[in-house]
Amino acid sequence: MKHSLRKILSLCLVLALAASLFTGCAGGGNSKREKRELSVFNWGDYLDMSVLDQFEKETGIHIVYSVYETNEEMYLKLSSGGSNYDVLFPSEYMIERLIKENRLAKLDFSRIPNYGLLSDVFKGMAYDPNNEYAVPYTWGTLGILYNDQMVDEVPTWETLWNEKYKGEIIMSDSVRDAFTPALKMLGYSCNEKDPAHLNEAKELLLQQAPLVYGYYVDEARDQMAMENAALAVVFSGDALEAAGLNEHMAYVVPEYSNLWVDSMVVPASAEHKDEAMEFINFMCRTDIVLKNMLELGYSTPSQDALKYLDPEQTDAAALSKLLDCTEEYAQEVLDEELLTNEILFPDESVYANCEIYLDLGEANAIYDALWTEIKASIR
Amino acid sequence: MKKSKPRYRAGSIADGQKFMAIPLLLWSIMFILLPLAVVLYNAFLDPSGGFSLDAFRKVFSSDGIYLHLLLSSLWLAVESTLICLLLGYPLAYILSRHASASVMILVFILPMWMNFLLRTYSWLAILGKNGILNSLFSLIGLPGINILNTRPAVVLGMIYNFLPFMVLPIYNSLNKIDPSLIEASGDLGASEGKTFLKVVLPLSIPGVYSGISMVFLPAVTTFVIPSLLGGGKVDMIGNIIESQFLKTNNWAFGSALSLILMVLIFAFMKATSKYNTEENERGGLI
Repeated sequence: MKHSLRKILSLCLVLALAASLFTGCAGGGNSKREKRELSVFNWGDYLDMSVLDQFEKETGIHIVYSVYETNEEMYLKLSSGGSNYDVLFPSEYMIERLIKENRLAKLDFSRIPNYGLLSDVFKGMAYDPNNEYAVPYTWGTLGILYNDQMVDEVPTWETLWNEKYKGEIIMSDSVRDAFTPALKMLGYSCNEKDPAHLNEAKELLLQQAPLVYGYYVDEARDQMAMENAALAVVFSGDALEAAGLNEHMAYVVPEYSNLWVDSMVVPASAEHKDEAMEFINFMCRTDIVLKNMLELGYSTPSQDALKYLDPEQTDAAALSKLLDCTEEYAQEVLDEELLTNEILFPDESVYANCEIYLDLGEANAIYDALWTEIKASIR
Repeated sequence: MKKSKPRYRAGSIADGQKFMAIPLLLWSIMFILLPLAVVLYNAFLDPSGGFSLDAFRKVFSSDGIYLHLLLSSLWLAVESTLICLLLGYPLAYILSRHASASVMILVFILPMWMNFLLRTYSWLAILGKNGILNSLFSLIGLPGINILNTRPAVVLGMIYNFLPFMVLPIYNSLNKIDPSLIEASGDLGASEGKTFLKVVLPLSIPGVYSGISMVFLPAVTTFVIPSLLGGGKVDMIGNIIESQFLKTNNWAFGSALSLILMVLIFAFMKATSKYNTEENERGGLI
């Protein structure tokens, strides 16, 4: 008796295990029409998760949410065709590449009325000159985070090559962000494709190597906050977080730097384009923009949202009504005076002469080869 | 004369039991043979999809940067393995002679219950310029040291993470030694030192061999430890391979490097395995 019970139990388990293999297939067949679905593929930690619940509640559309770490990883997953995504959040150069390769669908802007709430500064950019494919989501700058007690000047790119700071400089471990300071110092574009010019930049980076404390991407923020280094090449988002951890953090965008914009796009292969438009429109709604921005600490391209952060144009009551939160929280948000935060919302003159990254095409391979060489030569 | 038939003969399994091996066979094909074939295929692929030896040419040209990196990674792994052995053998020996060894082993592997990445990351806080170690040093008036983002930090990270993989197999094979052998050696007049050299050490060699491979293999291929504790300045071959796949999308070059690394590891294992002769084969992997 005991024996057969065990057999039945194990049989049940095996069946359950086998059945679980097929759960991923649900929704592929007839049920698609009955239940509306949307597959969102986003950077890790790149929205306020409660916003997804809100979207599901308001529209009844079920969201399948997955995340990636880098543009390249997103590209690999998209192009290998294993899964279907409906909304992506790539950066400018990746959007350009996706457009070139016909991997993006044109957006139906008649269904995204909230697009009008976004600032024109971030529209019609070089990667999408006719505003057909992308709706900007966040933006920021590449700059130098420094410790104002350890550095007594306002750093420029040249400072990163100053012997005085030997062993105190953190460089980016990401190819393009590492090349940008060198290229800008040489007076070239950060989208330079000439192999000879790139070689000059490589030599410069090799010269810098003995001064470098470490090559980091995400760890740069913590290392700076712990005061293990004096200067670091980081994005504005990291600078803001570091500033929250250590009061001596200062951030400057050197005169010629990089401006980045991450946008929402819909891949040509998307199966739920209608739902995707609805989602993008939702994401541009002012209350959602503010929720995401307060969670992430990245600047928003929404002009409308800024009004709700300006104490002269709004008050805690209005903000709490918009965000559906307590007035105390709204007051806290207003007290932070985010609009005057130079890391989050720099003066337009700061980013006016910044360049955005464009797709390098064939030259990508040159950058990669040179960077691999640099990293392999350091010892 | 009565001679009973041996219950099991090596190499022959009752027909009815053969099918039990099918899952293993499928697993090996799916997750060992196929991936190897894919790596092999990719290594000889040029971007347009044709056959090419360019990836290998790149490894061997480029001013020898990559060969140098390959060798220095191998050397770093050998160094870490040797230090693990020097620390691990005495430790295993002490443990094997200790009555409450199981408690000590538990204490020893307790940190391993925590995530590997987290454990390595915590060294950043310990070794940093203003880290715990330097704070302690300054407290007792010693000058601070800066070893984070240098080669010693990477070696330290390897030893910290992989030492248990050296200790446990050695402990295991030491534990299996019949105590009467040691007693016999003493009865026959051998000193303790001689007993160790002539009895204990030779019998524990299979464990040493397992320990070496279990430390050397992850050490030579790791990319997490050098990227965390080396700060991108002590990149090993694993980092270069990783970036070929995840960042620069040059699968051919990454595959070629992996293949060459595999060949080198194979040669290394062959060289060490001369101790692993038939009569020594017990003990082995834990």
